Amino acid sequence: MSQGTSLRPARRLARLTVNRETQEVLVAPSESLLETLRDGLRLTGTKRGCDTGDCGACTVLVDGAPVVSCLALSLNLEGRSITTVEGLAQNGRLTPLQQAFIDSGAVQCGFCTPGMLMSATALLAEERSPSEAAIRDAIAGNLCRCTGYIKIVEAIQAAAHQGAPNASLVS
Amino acid sequence: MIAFDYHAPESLQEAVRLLDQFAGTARVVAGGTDLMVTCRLRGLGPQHVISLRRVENLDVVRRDEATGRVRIGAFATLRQIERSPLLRERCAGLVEAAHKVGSIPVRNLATIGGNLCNASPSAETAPPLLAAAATVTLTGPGGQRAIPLEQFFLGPGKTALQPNEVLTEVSLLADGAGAASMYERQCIRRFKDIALVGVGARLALDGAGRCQAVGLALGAVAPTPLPVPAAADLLLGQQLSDARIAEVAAAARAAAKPITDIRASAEYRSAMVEVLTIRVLRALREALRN
Repeated sequence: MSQGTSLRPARRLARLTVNRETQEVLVAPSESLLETLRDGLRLTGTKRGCDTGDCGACTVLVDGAPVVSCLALSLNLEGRSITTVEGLAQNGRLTPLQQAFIDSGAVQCGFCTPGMLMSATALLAEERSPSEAAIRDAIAGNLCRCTGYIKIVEAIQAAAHQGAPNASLVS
Repeated sequence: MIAFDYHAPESLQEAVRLLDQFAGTARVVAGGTDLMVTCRLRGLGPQHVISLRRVENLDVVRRDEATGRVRIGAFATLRQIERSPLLRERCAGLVEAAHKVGSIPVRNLATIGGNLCNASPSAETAPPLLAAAATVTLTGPGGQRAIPLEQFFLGPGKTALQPNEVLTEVSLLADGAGAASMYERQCIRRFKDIALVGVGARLALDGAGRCQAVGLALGAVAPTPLPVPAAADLLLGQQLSDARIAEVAAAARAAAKPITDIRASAEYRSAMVEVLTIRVLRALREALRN
């Protein structure tokens, strides 16, 4: 790879569907989806942790599948459907999974919570009653430094018992 | 963060033409998981990024009925690979390796082509592919050429890909009819770790239980993922006895050229090559018995 130059290629309009709303957003060619969401669209529920794909705090759904938004190029996602944590609750009603995180005490500092919710939402949309191993595999990409994961796993199990949350998010 | 320009051509031909035009200052991007990290952490990056997201059918996974080999489009994601029913049945070693990369939100972006083009000595998908006699198809201005995967890797981060070529397909031998494949690795954490050592193997037995075809390859113990044919060939025409497996493992250890780095010492890596080779070959013997 060559040393980068100081040239700043022009921003361009990208058509992105975020939380069921299609909009045109001004995006730099090298901009990550995380930057577009937080800095462009002011959707700051999605967290910036490591910015290198290791911590999972920036996890969002793209066409229902969890991805680390810090490593996804926004321009690569034109025409795709993106769901952030802000898109989970409908008309102010939390999803069963969100409620289970509160009820189970799965939130301490809360920084990993949005990413955890997105990974777990995708899991529960595919598996109605996942095993503990499947849950741990699904959230292996989401680092939590507070809880030791036990309460988080319990919350996901509790939500699973109540039926799949927001299956409509996953195509 | 490096600021690059972005192009999303409508066809493979157009992508190749752009690569040719930008003469070494452009890179193809698939999932972007390696590219974005390189740009952020090292401040290095191309001036132009060529995305093939508009080009269809570059992620198709299928069995070639004529040859029996499995063909995987280079833009297939690692998540797609680990979930493909065809690959789960026919390429168990590759599926296991794909499953071990990063996490689900990374594997939903990362592709098999990207894993190979990044050419890390520890690339998880490389040992099982090398063990299954994989070839890669490179598409350039003059058309396509296919080369054995072992000729593709030239060094850490270095490949035989010309600046105006795109890796478009990977092809490998399938499991089934007396053949099976496996991948094992040693690492420190249960999830989200990089292999300290990886071992990929594929065995085909004849009706009498003798080894008809053997592939064995190592990860993270040389400047490139490393096929070890001299060790593998010790099994040809042989039964899979514990003594013979131990000989092969010792030969694999002798062929490895590990270094000491922040993740493990050379001595430890050498010892683990032997342990994992024994483990993989015994497990394959077990799998082929059933």
